[in-house]
Amino acid sequence: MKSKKIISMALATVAALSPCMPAFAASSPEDPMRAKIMAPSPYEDDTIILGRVEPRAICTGLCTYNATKDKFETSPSLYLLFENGAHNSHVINRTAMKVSQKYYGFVRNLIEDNVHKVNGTVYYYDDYD
Amino acid sequence: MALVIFLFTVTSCGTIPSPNMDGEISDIQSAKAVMQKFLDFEMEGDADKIREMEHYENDWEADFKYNEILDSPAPIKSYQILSSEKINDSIFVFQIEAETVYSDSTDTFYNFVIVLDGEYRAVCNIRNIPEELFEGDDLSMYSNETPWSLDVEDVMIFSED
Repeated sequence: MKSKKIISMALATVAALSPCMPAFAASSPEDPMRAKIMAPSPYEDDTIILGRVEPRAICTGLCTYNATKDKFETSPSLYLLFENGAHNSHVINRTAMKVSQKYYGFVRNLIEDNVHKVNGTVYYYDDYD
Repeated sequence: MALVIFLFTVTSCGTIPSPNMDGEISDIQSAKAVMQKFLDFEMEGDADKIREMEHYENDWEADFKYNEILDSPAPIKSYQILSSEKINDSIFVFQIEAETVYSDSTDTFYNFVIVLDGEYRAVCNIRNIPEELFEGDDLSMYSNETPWSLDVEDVMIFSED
């Protein structure tokens, strides 16, 4: 199973130590969605449930191309998060954009990329090891 | 003089460099020369030479980078190769520190030289290293990805054609 790196180590530690901890809001760039600690998943034996997000979470925004690394990258100032259909981040400010730089659009479906679904509920997950 | 150097090598290191070790050093030096040439072309913004030297697993990415280099300032302002390593007979990895047009501060990243069909080719991202070359070798530690990196499939690029 692929290891999903979007979950921060701090969040993993909280989940492991406090399985009954009430809902909390995560705010780091790696983990920008609201999450709730859940019980272990019956979905896969080697899966640990770290949180829950509502369906339809996507992030979108602008990105740039880095030719020295052959990759696209974004930044906090170019990034928008839409959770549960609602815009809960800041708008992209033109002052964050460089005049001579080319920008491209991107859309990431966080549900497909970083969580899996069990009986219609969407979960974060990560490997035990 | 040669005898003195030979004796010093034997007594101080305990071993005589093997032909294999010599071969490996020679391989790394050859690959490093290719890497330097490639980085020089990136510093000159020579899109044709870069395309000639760089390997991609698909054509659209090669076309995309070619047009990016043509339409933008040369990506590298200055660079130095911090380290060179042979992963296997077909893959060499280089850690590079460079001033680029993408960052206000010095950036450090990995680029590669691969041996494909008997030819040296440059590669800038591990996703473009053919799978058959690294079978059994874990290259993830040489990834340039960060939490803010995006998969190419997520990016919307609209052609003006």
